[in-house]
Amino acid sequence: MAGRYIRTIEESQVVINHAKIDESDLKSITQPLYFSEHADEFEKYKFIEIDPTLLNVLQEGEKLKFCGLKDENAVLCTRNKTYEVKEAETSNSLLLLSSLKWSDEVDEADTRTLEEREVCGIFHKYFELRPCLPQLHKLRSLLKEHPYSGPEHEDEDVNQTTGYSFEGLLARVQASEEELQLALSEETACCINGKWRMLDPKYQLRVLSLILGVVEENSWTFDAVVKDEVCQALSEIVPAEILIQCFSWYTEPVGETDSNGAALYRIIEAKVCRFMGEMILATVEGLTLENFITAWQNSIPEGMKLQTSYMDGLMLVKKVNDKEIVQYFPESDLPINISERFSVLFEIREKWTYDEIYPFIARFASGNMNVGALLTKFARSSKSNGIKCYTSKHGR
Amino acid sequence: MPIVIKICEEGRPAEWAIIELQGDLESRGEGTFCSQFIGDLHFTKNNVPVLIVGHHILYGKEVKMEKPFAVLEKHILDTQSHNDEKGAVDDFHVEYIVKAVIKKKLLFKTRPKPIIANVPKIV
Repeated sequence: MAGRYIRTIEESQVVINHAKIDESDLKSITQPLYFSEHADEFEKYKFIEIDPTLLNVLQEGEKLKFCGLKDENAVLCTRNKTYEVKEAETSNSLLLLSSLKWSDEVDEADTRTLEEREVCGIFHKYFELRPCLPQLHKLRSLLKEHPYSGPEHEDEDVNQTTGYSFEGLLARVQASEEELQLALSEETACCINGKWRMLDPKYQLRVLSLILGVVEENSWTFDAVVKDEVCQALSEIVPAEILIQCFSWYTEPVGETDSNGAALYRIIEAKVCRFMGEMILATVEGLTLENFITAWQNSIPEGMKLQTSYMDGLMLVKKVNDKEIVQYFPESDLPINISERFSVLFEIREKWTYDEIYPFIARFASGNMNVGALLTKFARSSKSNGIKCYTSKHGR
Repeated sequence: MPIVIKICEEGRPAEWAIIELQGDLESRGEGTFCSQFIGDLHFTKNNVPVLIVGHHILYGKEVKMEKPFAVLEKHILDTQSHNDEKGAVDDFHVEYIVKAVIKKKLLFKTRPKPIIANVPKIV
């Protein structure tokens, strides 16, 4: 390319005069702007909007990842968060400069000097990030591809290719590592021979019943369960790695030991009851609330006390012809897009109290937006018979 | 396959800048923007940025960006050709380097004012 045009101080001053600016009002450094020689290669750069948290994460040297298969919208994952990536467009022109002196960096001096600056390109697009929920639906369906229903049902040849490793799941599910880890434990997924799979609910029921059986045989109280003895008693019946994981879902360490020095565990009543209740709800349709409670009570070990709150996020009670009918309505099956979720909720039920709707939207609450604020934004509140209710924003 | 975004080898990314203009810049004549002169940027003693582009003068302000930008630079690590059901596909193995962050910009959002004078011809 022919010699580049070089701005001179004199030319710059002539223009200042033409513009009827008093040169003495200007600081003494002028920064003439040029397009860089490679301004046509600007497309190798992308702008992405980041909040201060992400900025810190990056500056600490953590790697971020764009995740998603070809037919999915991309998300950005940090170690513990997932963000939706959306392209935004502006009609303004954004000129990118690799160096520039800001007003407080331009010193006063007697004579004018020129400091050339290069513009790398003009941009009209950038990517916005919005925190979003990890794609748990997909995780659930991957985990359910190969349910585990006991060693006798395992085909030895198939075993090698059955299920997904943690990395395999991470590559397929749009979620950060920590969110995936948490989801695997929430979903009570089981790691069998290095592959993550769901237990067939009937098999899970069997293992849990066996554990509870050992507790009963030994006449232990629910907060004095000896893990090693449970494992020993069931070693012939349930593969060790499954038993240990299953045990961990329904117990927590008490922090004390028995007279032999063995660590003691507490059976978590809420989790056992919830699992038993879900088994009933998922298999029997159209139960009245009363019949459900009776069946539920019969399914749990003696000495445990039911609370309907154990079924939060799993169950709906509907009034049909003056009868209260229970319905299996797992929160985990609802859309992960918040406004879609609200429309599903208001479709199934017109009016919700705060306590009723809470378990179905709590997942979306975050530091600056609690459940109350979510309801203000996505629902309309009214009072009916003195009770505060929430209805659809676009309601009738 | 996830695409990795990482910080440049040197550690902390540099701080770059944006000048935001209302509307578009048009090139004088034909051809690309490459190496072309755009205009002069001044600051008044009251720290107001002044940009003179051609026959136009713009007054702006220095803005701290509420959400900073990261400038990502695309790197193609390797290209693998393979065949799938639809025939040969090039699989680009890509990563992004955080070249810089942008925390401040000069925003010129008012309409440019014309300069009424004979500006000497630019070569």
